[in-house]
Amino acid sequence: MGVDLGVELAGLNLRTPLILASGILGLSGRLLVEISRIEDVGAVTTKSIGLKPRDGYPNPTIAVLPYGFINSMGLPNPGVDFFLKELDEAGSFGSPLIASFYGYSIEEIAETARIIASHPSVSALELNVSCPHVSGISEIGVKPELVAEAVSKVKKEVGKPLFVKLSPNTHLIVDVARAAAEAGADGLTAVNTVKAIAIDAELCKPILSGVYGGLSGPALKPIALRCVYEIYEEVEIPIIGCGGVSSYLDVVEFILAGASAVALGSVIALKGIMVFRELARGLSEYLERKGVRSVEEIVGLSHR
Amino acid sequence: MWRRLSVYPIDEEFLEKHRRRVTSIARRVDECIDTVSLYVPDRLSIDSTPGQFLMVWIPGVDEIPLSISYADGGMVGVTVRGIGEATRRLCSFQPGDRIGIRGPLGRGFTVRKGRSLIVGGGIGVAPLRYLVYRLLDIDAEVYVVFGFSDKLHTIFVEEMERLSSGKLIEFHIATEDGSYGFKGTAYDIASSIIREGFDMVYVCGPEALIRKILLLCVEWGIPMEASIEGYMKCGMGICGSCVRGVYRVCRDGPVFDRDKLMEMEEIGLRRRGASGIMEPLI
Ligand SMILES: Cc1cc2nc3c(=O)[nH]c(=O)nc-3n(C[C@H](O)[C@H](O)[C@H](O)COP(=O)(O)OP(=O)(O)OC[C@H]3O[C@@H](n4cnc5c(N)ncnc54)[C@H](O)[C@@H]3O)c2cc1C
Ligand SMILES: Cc1cc2nc3c(=O)[nH]c(=O)nc-3n(C[C@H](O)[C@H](O)[C@H](O)COP(=O)(O)O)c2cc1C
Ligand code: FES
Repeated sequence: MGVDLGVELAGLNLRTPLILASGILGLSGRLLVEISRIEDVGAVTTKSIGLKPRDGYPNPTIAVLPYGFINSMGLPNPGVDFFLKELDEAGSFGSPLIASFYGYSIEEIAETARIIASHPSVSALELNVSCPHVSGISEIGVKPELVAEAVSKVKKEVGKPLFVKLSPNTHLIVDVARAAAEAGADGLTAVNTVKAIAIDAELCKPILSGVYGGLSGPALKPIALRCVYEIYEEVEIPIIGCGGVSSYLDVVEFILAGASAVALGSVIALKGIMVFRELARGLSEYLERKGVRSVEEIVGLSHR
Repeated sequence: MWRRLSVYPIDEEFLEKHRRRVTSIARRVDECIDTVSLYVPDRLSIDSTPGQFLMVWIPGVDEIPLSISYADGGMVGVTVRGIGEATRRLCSFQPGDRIGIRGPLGRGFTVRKGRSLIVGGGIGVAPLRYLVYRLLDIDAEVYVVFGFSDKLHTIFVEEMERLSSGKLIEFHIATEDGSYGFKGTAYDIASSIIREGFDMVYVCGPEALIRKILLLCVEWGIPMEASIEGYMKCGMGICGSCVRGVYRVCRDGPVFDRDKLMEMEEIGLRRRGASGIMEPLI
């Protein structure tokens, strides 16, 4: 029955290295629970949650291109208070729940982390400092010293594992990664979307109401893969690879580049939630074909 | 060029549906004091199913979901009631004004032969009008009940009356203030004729109406489908904004069957707004 895909990730035990990425269907507690119970799902991540509710930007908030999506959702979320109530009523998770969160200042980040981590369903946190279309967020994520400050503040308040979601929109990504690790982060998620825009040639206008958005999907993959590769060379803590994964080979490539797990986003629009099954199967068959007994054996293998 | 680029990796059909098609309005029909039907030429909507919707982009204003209320001969129509900024702006649009559309999106009604009861309230009659035509095309026995607040807000009434002198079996109309047709609601009429026995009940309108018909159909053991709303953003099933129960309205719906509607629990009671916070509907 194939190779066991279980991995250990910053203290979390995952059935498979396949994670639902933040912002993908992660608003409803009940739906998150449902997804977390799918056999091939390793962990699920919530939409990024802030201290206060946010409506996000008016539509259009997404543009579809032949090679990916550009979204400018603008971090719509119900705020921590409502979200925790939602989790109360959601039922029990079938795999670890990673709560993504953000804040506009170091203090707000720490406060949000403290509140969200207090919920028993939350297994780990993911700090989003990399949303490219909301001002006040992405600025933090490109400054190593600010990220370090945020991480150490959060780690002082919270005992649960903390991941930092990195922005590809900086040449300093490795410095940010190292700063996060040195400040005590337990893992890194690489990467968030690349800042982009879409223009309608008929109307001669930008399509997205927020003008700027983030590029995800297949076009992002080689960039995300490079980011994971670079970070793995320099930083010890585990990496969740993210960006454009659409086939099991993409999963394999991220792991070979140094990712311990992989998050799926845009592909879900194209293949549906059952894509987890397809990718888990493909990965398992690949490992079997290579005569490998666990995912961990091939993490970062392309560096050797 | 587009086609060549799209062979890989984004599925061509998906891409075609979600690329915004900017077109000029070909025809505008005023349906009542606050409701307008707009028609644009569109090839993709030829194969649409009643109940499917378009994301309609009003450049510089918003992009909103609107049900297809008509599709034939290469034209697609939507019928919009002006209730807020985007819908009022759209109601002011004239032939030649440009909108962008993507779709047809979502899952529509099951178009099946048999005795069908169609129940609509207010602007909810929009997708049902398209459904009536498709059901008549396959010679289903169609009974229609529409309800409105008052005579000034009735829409598609002449059209349904015209159809009922032909293939349509029965058309009933109710207004809450009795200014036209039966004095009461669509529910009042539907609940009295439902005992005549139907193979399928189709509903769209205020969720209070949907909820009452839903409970009635559960009681009578009649299959039923309703088109419901959720706050739409991506329209492609990834952002989670439109989720009701554990279903995505944009992708798994907007039309759901009786069992799924019951499972959602929240129908007619509450729904998420733009931020994802649940808001009471009553
Ligand atoms: C599947 C579907 C089909 C619809 N079909 C029709 C139709 O055929 N004709 C018609 O007149 N209306 C239809 N609607 C409702 C229509 O989309 C809203 O009336 C419109 O979005 C309101 O925008 P506004 O700026 O005018 O009003 P606002 O003042 O912004 O809002 C008024 C109400 O509309 C809701 N709304 C606003 N934006 C959205 C959005 N993006 N998605 C869902 N709800 C929203 C708000 O929550 C509020 O309840 C449909 C909605 C859905 C979900
Ligand atoms: C609609 C949408 C919403 C997103 N929302 C968030 C979010 O709230 N927080 C976050 O950290 N990333 C968010 N992302 C980024 C994804 O988590 C992921 O990093 C990115 O899409 C790249 O992965 P993909 O190519 O597999 O989609 C969002 C992406 C999309 C497409
Ligand atoms: S509108 Fe985004 S999931 Fe339905």
